[in-house]
Amino acid sequence: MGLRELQDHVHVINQQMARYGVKFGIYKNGSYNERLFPFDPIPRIIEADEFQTLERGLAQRVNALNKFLADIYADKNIIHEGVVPEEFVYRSPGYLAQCEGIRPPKGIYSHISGIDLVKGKNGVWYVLEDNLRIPSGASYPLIARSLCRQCCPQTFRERAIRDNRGYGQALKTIMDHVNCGGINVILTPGRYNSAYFEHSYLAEQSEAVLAESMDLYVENNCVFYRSNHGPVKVGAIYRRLSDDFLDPLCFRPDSLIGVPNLMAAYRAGSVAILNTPGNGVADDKGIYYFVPKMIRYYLGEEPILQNAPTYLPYFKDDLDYTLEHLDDLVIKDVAEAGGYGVVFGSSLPKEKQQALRDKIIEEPRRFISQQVIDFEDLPIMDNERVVGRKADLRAFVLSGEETYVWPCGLTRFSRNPSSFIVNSSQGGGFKDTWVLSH
Amino acid sequence: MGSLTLSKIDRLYWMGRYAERVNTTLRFLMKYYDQLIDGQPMDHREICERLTVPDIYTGNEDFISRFTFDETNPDSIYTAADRMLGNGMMLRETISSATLSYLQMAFNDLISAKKSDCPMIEVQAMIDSIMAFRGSFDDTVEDEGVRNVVKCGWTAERCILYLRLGEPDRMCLKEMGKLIDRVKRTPVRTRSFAFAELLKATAVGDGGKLPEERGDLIHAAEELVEI
Repeated sequence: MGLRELQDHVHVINQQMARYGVKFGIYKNGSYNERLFPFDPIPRIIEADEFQTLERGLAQRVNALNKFLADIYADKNIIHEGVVPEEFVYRSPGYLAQCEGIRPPKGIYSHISGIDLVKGKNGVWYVLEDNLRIPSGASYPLIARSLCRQCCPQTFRERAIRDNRGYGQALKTIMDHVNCGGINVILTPGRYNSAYFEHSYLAEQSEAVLAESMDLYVENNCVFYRSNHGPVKVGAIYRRLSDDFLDPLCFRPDSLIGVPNLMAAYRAGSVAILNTPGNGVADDKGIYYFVPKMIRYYLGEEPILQNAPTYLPYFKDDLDYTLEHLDDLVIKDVAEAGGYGVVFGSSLPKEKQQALRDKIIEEPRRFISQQVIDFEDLPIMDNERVVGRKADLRAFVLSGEETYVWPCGLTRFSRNPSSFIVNSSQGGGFKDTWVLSH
Repeated sequence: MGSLTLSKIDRLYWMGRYAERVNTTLRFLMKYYDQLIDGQPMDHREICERLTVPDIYTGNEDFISRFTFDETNPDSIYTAADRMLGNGMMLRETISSATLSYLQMAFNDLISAKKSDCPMIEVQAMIDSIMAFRGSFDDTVEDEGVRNVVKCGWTAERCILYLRLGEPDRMCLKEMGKLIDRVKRTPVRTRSFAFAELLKATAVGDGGKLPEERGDLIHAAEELVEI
């Protein structure tokens, strides 16, 4: 593909990344460390027809998940009809009883969805995880693309690559779509949040106001921004803090980064919150198993994208299978995220395998097991050499008047040759994702 | 001025102050570093006293090194640069990524200088980046209110440091005059006693003299803006 030009300029591009502070933070052993997010210049390339299938499959999946959330916080038909067992809903830490009966503006729950996929060596794309709370990562390929274009214009002139620069505008469009009257705000916990770069960058790109909790207050069930010209009504909040911390009067009382009474304003319908609180019930690793069933149930369609083959030890047959085939499976703790709580059965010594078996028997609801997908290696630069490393793709789906799949995505890769874990918090890097237009 | 919260005004003001603290202090230290070769430098203890920072240093060289680069020292230039960038990061959509990038570059320059064999020449790159930040800020930030708050911050800080470090009356008077002009155009509240103090001192004109004891003027410049 003649990507040599980008490879030759990797140092210049990374210098520019440092200049723009393209960083993320990690809390380890109680201290916060910020570091540059390692960028690899060789893009993931997705052909036009392949992306068309992904696009349809992702839109289908997110539409079904939105319908699931609308159902769960209202009629619960999917439970009554036995498609999803109620334990998987009510015992999910993402289920919030405080959200029962609230219908968000325009009925949209997950406005910005991050769907993690891998491509198997057999060429099939598998969905590994849905992220419907505060998926991060769109800003990285966004800024990387603009820097690469400046650095190697010829590379982009010669190829039919779909433009990814509309993300900020698309974000603005969905915020405007659900806005209840007032300004659009991106609510950040502050500089020491791991994705702070993204919060501020997206605020700039989407023309929203970046605010911390102290900048907002609630009066008469409306949210206001404390402007020097007096209060300004807020109509939509793209919140970048988790449900627990959103409103100390409704969730964790010790939260200092939330806005007191925000949930009351939301319940009164005077402000939209993107994504809606309580979405965690739909991206729980246990619920993931049921997403293909949801697609059939709500949309009457066959799923276009496949889940990785998954077993729920909650069901007797799946428990037996998991215990017997531990060596071939990856076990995931449903309460963990960010690459934590993921164990490859084959990597454990015998006694640890046994301990894991005991844990699964004791708390079957806590785990899922999945076939290890031998997903493809993508080329990355390791100093001057090009080597293969495992990589996934986080696709971003925006739900507003229509469901829009961003023609790009965050490709994350493992820098460790023997690892399948690509998360940035585990030392991984990222690439741009090129979707070809024809 | 568009919609800004008080916390944003506070950040704008302090971003300006910290950027100028880094700029003026670094310039002072570079001159001081040269004086240490064969000049008649001020003792580091006197500098600490003038800046009202604790003297935790073992000597002049140690002072230069740790006062510039020590990230654990709350009085260091490193800490001021971190705060400058921290405030700037919270203002990205107000000042733009392009302008913010110069603050990030300045901070990166400091880290590079720290690792260098000749750090006190390498820090020149940091001053260059801060100057570029000022240029970019002036050129691209259109909101008059935003511009004045930041400029108010950096003029106030320069005034304070010039007064503290014993810069000539002429230079201090010039900066104090600029500060008075700036606050008049800035939508921030000012403390009247501080304003009156600075106004009285500048009434002597450009060629005039400041009182020997500058403590009241330093206090006035520090307390002038009320956020």
